[in-house]
Amino acid sequence: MDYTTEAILEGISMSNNDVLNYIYKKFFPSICNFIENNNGNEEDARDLFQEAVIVIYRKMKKEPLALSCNFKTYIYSICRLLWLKQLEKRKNSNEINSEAILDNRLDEVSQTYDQTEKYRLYQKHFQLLGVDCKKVLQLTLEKISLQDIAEIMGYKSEKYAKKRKYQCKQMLIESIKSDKQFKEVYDE
Amino acid sequence: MNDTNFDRIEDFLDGELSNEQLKNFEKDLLEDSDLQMELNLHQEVDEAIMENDIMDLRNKLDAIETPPTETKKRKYKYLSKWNITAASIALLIGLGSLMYLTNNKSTYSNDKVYSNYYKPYNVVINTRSSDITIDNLLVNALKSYESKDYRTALTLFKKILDKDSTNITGNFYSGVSNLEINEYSKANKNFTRVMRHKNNLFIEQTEWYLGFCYLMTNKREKAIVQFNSIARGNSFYKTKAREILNRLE
Repeated sequence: MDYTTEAILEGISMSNNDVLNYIYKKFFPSICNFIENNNGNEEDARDLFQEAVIVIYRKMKKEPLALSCNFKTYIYSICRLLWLKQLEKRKNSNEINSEAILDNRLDEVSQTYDQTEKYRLYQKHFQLLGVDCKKVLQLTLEKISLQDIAEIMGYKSEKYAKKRKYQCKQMLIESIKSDKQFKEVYDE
Repeated sequence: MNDTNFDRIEDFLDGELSNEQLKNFEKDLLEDSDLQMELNLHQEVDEAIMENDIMDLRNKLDAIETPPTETKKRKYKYLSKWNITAASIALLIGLGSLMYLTNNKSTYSNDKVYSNYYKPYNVVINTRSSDITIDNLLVNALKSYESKDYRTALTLFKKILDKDSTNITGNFYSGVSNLEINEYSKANKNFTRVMRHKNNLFIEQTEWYLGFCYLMTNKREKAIVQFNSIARGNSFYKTKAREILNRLE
């Protein structure tokens, strides 16, 4: 079964498993081929394809996306642009045809990607925290009172809940900063 | 970033600074670009960790198996009849050898799983306990640990554990240090203490390393149970645990 461009976009915005599987099956091989022909390997292609889907998801979260081309062309141009950025970072930019960077329509994609890349790093380190730290941090950000947090988490006092939140946040920030990718993504 | 500024940023974001503190903070922000950058980072991190939808989407995408690529397809397509015959003969020989070596059921030995999947844990902890002596000991112990001087680290961690045998950080990093110097039973003891405490930062990591303790003390069945429970749960290590199970079973 084939999906229309609109159905694919809707599927991505709903994180629909069938649609996600479909786009990998249908579009990943040619993207992978492109990456492999331009100094990358299958793992690079997998990472890049995933980032492209997340970039599209993020864009749709901000505002509805109306495409003037089909989905294949769209995801292909996003992947080209993202790969070009990657290669520039690796200082190999002369080895790829650089016409994609001249395409102004993709400027916005590039900005969304910068955010995606940074947040990917933050989220990776967040996932590394213990279960209780993750929960305390999210509860605090949901503006749940310290008293309630202490009760939910089984802590002895509000004071301890606050201390725990500081500890967890500090651990997270330090863990992010100690990642060798941090300077790369944060200084951009 | 010092602790005071860290706390000020957090209190600012939580809206807990008094009027005067707020004024000072805003003034410092204008003059101190590092503080401004640090505040941005805290804000971005807060925003990122609330993106449950994106983290879920990423997990879903991670789980999707990618189809064979064009290059691989081409490779299969051009396998000649002779290649296929040769491959079939090799397969028959392989199967024969496999039947001959009936005691060699597992794909990977315990040692091989260990060498392929084990690596020491990076230091991510910040010291902030209520006991300043323990804090100082911990700082030095972690320095030795980070420079891979595990024996010195163990001596220093022992001083902490002599004061407080239940100290989670001390026990966890002692456990990994003991793994590094092949003292698997001692590592097991350290990790068991961390597990007993239940509500702490190192539970997922400890479950993971305990699996390796079992492997290296030839308790393969126990290791399988351990990695199985990680694979079935929501641990950060679940994908790797699944891979290990495939190698072990």
